[in-house]
Amino acid sequence: MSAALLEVEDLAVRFPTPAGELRAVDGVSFRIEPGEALGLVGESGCGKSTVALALLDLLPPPGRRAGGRIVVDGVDAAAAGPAGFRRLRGRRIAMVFQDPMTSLDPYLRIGEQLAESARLRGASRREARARSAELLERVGLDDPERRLAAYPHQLSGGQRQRAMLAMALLGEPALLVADEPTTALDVTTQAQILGLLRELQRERGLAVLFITHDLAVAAGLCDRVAVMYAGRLVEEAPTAALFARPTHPYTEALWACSPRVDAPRRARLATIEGFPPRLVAPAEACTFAPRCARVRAACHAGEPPLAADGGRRRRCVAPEAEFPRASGEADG
Amino acid sequence: MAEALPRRSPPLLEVRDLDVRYGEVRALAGVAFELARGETLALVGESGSGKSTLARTLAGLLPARGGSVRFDGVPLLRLRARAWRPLRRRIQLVFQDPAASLDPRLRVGAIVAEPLAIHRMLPRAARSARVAELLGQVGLVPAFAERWPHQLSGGERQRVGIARALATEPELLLLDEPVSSLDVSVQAQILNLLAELRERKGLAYLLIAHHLGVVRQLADRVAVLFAGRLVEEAPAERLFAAPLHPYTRALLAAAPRAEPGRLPASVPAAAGEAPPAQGGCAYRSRCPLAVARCAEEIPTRMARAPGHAVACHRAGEASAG
Repeated sequence: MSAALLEVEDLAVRFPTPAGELRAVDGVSFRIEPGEALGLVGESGCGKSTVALALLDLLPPPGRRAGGRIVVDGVDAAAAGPAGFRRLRGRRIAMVFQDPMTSLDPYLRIGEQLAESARLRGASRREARARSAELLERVGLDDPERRLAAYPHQLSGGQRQRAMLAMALLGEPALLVADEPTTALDVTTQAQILGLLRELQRERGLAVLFITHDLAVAAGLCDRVAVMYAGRLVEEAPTAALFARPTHPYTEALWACSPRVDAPRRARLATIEGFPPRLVAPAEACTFAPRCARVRAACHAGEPPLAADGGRRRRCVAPEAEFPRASGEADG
Repeated sequence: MAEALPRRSPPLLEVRDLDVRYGEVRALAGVAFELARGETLALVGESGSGKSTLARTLAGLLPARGGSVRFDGVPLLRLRARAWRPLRRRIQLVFQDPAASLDPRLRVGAIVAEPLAIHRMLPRAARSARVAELLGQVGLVPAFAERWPHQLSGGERQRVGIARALATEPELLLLDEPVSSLDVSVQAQILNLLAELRERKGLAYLLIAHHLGVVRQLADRVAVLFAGRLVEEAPAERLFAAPLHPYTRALLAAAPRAEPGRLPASVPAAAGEAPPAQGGCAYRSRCPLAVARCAEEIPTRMARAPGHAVACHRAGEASAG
């Protein structure tokens, strides 16, 4: 096995609630190779953003990491100690969020915020300014000198997201964690930001953990896609394989209920009835079983493991052959 | 000059040369379209294109500087508040964020009954039966009347928002991003519900949505707004299959399509953020087909096929590439 840039093994996150400890993330394992883009897809509450926050040690209290290993560049967080690991992570991983306004200081000029990040990394004042201007230009902001003097509210949503990307790139990270970075943007701006991410990935060997609710967006950018439901991974596959044949009923249903720009109007969109469970106890059955169109007795016998088969992992007892291929509706 | 397209039956809504300004900024210019009973027209365009301004003007929440809006033949724009009321019950709004649009201090039953009280439509005693009926129409059991908004899921809240809008038996719903704050699986349920209600009640919808998949699923016709002007209008299937305006083409090309490894096409960034110039086509600074004429003359709207109109000097050329 090649050296992974990031290895997450059996990650668990808990939030205490009056009803008991909420198991927000349970048994999540994945790896990201250098330069690779992994999509983490799911609906709200599935735990996808919580995974990202746990990686960066940004969990909002009283949330806490309750187990699992996080390994960056072969260094285990537990072995490196809190300070050592924070340094390693700070050097290797950066994050951008859906709404740049939440991470930009509204009272500081863009240039001051970038310079502060650069100076934290040991750059001189002059270097920091030059480097900031260069990165703003790289992320596609014209007239960088004018942008450095601007306050966040003077930029459009797309420009702010570009500025956030520039700030993330200052530390020359190997992995960028991007949590719904294009969700608040117009579709044309979204396309530009996705294009920019792809360029940065190719030119700098940047790996990306791309978190989104939109399967179609993940399809374009990501090499592999992992789907989350109720705090766990339910399916992970190379992107082409996943869209050619989703083999977990949740992935299948999520894709079937997505309205698509490239398909004519359907009489009815497929739906997923019911609600995801809020888990305060370990699962005793498949967590998707109550809503599943392919449910059977075995689903209630215990939670299926995330079983690997070739390049794919899936958490389902139904045989893969049961799932229709996306293109040939005849075998569905 | 903006002429609407010929139609068979008299339209439910008829908008002509609509002009709306925020101070000196022209938010809408020469907007014209018609909407038939039972029909769904979607307005698409980027933020700042004027879609929400248009919906708010039609709802009587913003004044127009010029032009006319007729609802069922009655001119709306110069109506006084008192004359608005009987019409307002026939035009209702459904908002994007159901959490923000439901009064947290009222139970669901009171929220749904509120328009009945405002319009003095039913004696108080008859209202709870009507509320139960309305909840049923949006797929909620009568017991929901006793709940508080914070006890509802996002999808349930949007169902309550729709039930409230239906209370006055409207003929037109203005749907402002009705599913964009919902999860994908819930979004599908609400889109199905809207299609079903339209079928059952002959409702007309004016749909504002930025997700083009949502538009394709619900709309009969689509109008594309850029910088406050309608640049293209066509039957939905035609617009998605054969868009003519370069902006419409860029917009459709930018929509994610789930083609593994292939990113949606992006249009050049920097120029798009320039303010629309005086005179000429506002899209020209982003347009790959722009010629000298585009800087001199605002393109007028021309019919290119039945029901398909476009405002572009280069629309013929656009169809080639």
